[in-house]
Amino acid sequence: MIGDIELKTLSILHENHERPKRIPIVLDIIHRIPQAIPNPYQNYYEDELIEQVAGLSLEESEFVPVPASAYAIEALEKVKVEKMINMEENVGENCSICFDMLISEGIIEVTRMPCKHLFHGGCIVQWLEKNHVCPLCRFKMPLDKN
Amino acid sequence: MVDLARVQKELQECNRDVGVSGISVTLKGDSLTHLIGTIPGPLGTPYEGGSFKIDITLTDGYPFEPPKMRFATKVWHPNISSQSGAICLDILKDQWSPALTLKTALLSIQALLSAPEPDDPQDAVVAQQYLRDHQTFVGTARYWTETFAKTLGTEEKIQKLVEMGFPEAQVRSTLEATGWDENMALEKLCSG
Repeated sequence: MIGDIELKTLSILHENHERPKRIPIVLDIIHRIPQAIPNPYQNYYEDELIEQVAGLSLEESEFVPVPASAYAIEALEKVKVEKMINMEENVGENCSICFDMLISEGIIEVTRMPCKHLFHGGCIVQWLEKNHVCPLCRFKMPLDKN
Repeated sequence: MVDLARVQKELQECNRDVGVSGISVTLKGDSLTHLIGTIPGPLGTPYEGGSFKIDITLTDGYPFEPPKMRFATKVWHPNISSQSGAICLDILKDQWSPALTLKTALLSIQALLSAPEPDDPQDAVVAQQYLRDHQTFVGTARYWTETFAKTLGTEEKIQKLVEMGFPEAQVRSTLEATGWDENMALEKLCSG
């Protein structure tokens, strides 16, 4: 049965351009989108199910994020600090990645995500090269095609 | 490299409002990469009254990688290994974001104590008991809290050993000699 779930989930992951991850995460996804697989557990005794699922979840799962495409990272909007100060926009806020002031001495521009969240350029690029979601709202940046 | 400046800021921020949240983070040794988090057991749960220690290790990639957290205090919960203390929580894995902090992660763990998810278990035995014999689950979880998560004050430790029939003066000196470790003191009292 787990084999079936795995296959179905891998196809869902594929449709959503996600990399196949390890089984605990796969099962997690199944829990989140129950409509994707109509009650796959219905013919199984609770016992058997718990043992199977538990056995798999016990494996140490790893953090396998998918980076944003280099092109999308390159194309991110850069906002001049000068302009922000003139418009009294976001002055006094912190960068949500390094927790330093977003605008401080020596910083001439910051980076704006398509979801409008602002970060230091270096901070957000370092994150997006690991994982394609906005740290604040999980907005999904484009992925590489393959 | 771990972003030490950020970690330092997090520690200050977190420990500023311990009075409100009850959640604290302290250094394990003299490095900023090994920490101990403390969370109070949520009220109205079998963990109420307990103080739970979480072992925290920051990898070189922090905050771009999640902190490694596991329970150092033994706890009976479907999503926490009763053997290793490993925690099954998505934000410590694929749902991590660098906008989260040690404090928000500890708050999420505290929320997990309040709301177990037996369908996504870390400990199969506990999850099975949670689903099939809830009353026994609550009893066991409460017993584990009493046994492993309660730190007694010095007077309570004295009282506990005096109640077992040892003379108070002897109890006091033995506890002092063992650095107020009541188990070691009991062993010593019994053997000597």
